[in-house]
Amino acid sequence: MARDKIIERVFEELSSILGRRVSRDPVDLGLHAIDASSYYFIPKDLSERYVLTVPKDAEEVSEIVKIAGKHGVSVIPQGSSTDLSMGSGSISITTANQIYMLERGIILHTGMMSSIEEISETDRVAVVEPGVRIDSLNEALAETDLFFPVDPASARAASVGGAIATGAGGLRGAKYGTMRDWVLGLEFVDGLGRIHRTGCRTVKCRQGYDLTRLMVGSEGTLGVITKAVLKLWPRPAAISRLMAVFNDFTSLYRFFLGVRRGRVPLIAEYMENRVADKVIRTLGLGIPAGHTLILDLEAGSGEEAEKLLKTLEKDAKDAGAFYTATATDRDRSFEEIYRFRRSMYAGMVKMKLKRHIIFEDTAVPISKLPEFVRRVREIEGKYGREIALGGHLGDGNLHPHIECDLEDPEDRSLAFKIAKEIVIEALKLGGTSSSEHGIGSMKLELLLIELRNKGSEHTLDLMINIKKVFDPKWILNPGRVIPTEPGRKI
Amino acid sequence: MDKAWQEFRKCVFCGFCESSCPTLGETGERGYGPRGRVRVVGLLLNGIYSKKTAEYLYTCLLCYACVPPCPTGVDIPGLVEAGRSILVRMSQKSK
Repeated sequence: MARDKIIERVFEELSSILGRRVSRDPVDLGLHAIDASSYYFIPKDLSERYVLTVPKDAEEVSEIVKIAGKHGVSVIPQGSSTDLSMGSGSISITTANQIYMLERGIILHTGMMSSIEEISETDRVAVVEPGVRIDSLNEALAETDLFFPVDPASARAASVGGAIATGAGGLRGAKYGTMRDWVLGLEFVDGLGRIHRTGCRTVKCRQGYDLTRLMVGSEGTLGVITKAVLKLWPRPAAISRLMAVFNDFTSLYRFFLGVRRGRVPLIAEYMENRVADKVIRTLGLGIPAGHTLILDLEAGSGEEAEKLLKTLEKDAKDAGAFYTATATDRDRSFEEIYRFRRSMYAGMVKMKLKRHIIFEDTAVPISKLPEFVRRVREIEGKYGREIALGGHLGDGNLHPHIECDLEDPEDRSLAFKIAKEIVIEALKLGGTSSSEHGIGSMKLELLLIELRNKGSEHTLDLMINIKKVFDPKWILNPGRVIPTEPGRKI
Repeated sequence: MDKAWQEFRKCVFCGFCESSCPTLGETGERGYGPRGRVRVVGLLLNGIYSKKTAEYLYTCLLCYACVPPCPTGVDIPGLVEAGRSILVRMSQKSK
């Protein structure tokens, strides 16, 4: 394939600014063409159509976007590439069963912008660049009495910029919400290359329209995040952790509702019996598998945490738990219980029988969880395909796991059909199709269905018009979040 | 080759291995980390390679720090060595 002349020019212009931090090497491009939802694909011809850039500050990001705009080339902002909705690679799969690659593009990797510029204990804020990993931020906070509470399961690898762009949540969602609740201010580059600074470093901040909040969850389609002011929070004084295993979801759910009365658990994580079994086999543990709940409750002191655990354990057994494990944050086994939950993804992936797993991201109101689980079981029976459930019971965000082979069009089509039916049931129960993974390209159709379900399809027009204001040339991460470009079907 | 391919396919690109890698910490470039190196071998097995392939694979210290964090148990050092073997065979053939 002949080298694309436009990309040749773009490469030359970018090289004059970034020097060696621009690459057309096929290996470098292969490393950045995918994300965790498209990991298996090996794209060809990348160096003819793509350029990788690794800017070091907002000014360089601005120059990249300006050059992209001049030549009409797409920009794909990219953090740690851990997203699960196909939002940050060059390859996309849509629920309408299409696989596509943008004709040409500039991958903008924020990995070099990874400084923690400031931590203020008094103001309880951190000012960070987008490439900082969430766990790295919490490591830096270890010497203080503060922490950053948003805790996506991928926190070890996920970057702050990516988490903001995705609107990530995590295990502590019920208590602490998602990224949108913790971003006070942003610096970002819009689709014309202009650098904007929005928000404040104070909790109270009225600055016209809340563009900071609008940017959170915009998945790189409105701007490239180059800096963030994050709110920090005091770490709980002590934590009581309970693992309780039940024979059925109903008993577990009733126990959970009882615990929840009058308080918000720090985490309340659920794993159905088949998921728990896979995790037990993965970790080689000698504990029984069943419907498993992992609960964290905040306590005022170590002594109070111990006392709370005794009550919790008794209540769990009374509610039907046939196995329990307890620990306070002073105990060695505290992390072991958490590791069990953290290994859910690993267990599912390691024990999978097909090539891929689609991790759906539905949430329903807490009151509708039993009905949602029942309807998922009905869909499972109808198609004879295992739909394993596990995730954040505390905020109603259970992740249905559907094994499939994304590269087999028939199997992919069936998996997406199942996913769509699950989402429709979640919507009927007042829920959502995407809680914390974003829309990416995989959930484009589901977003439309969701808006239609609310009788609000025209809201998409509003989103398209917002996109046009931020990115008039439509070059920022096209094909993500918004299903169509003006005048052109994907 | 088949064994390497099977091993490569275990990787889910989660990046949990990266924070443990001493060489990634030095450069910040994905190719100098375990997730990148696994991917580099996958690309190589698909006939996609460049001078960077050797650069990324031969800068691995084979220190095994990336092995414990891997949730799917990829034999990352083994894959790196498999990648190096392929490069050696390719270089012998071209002589």
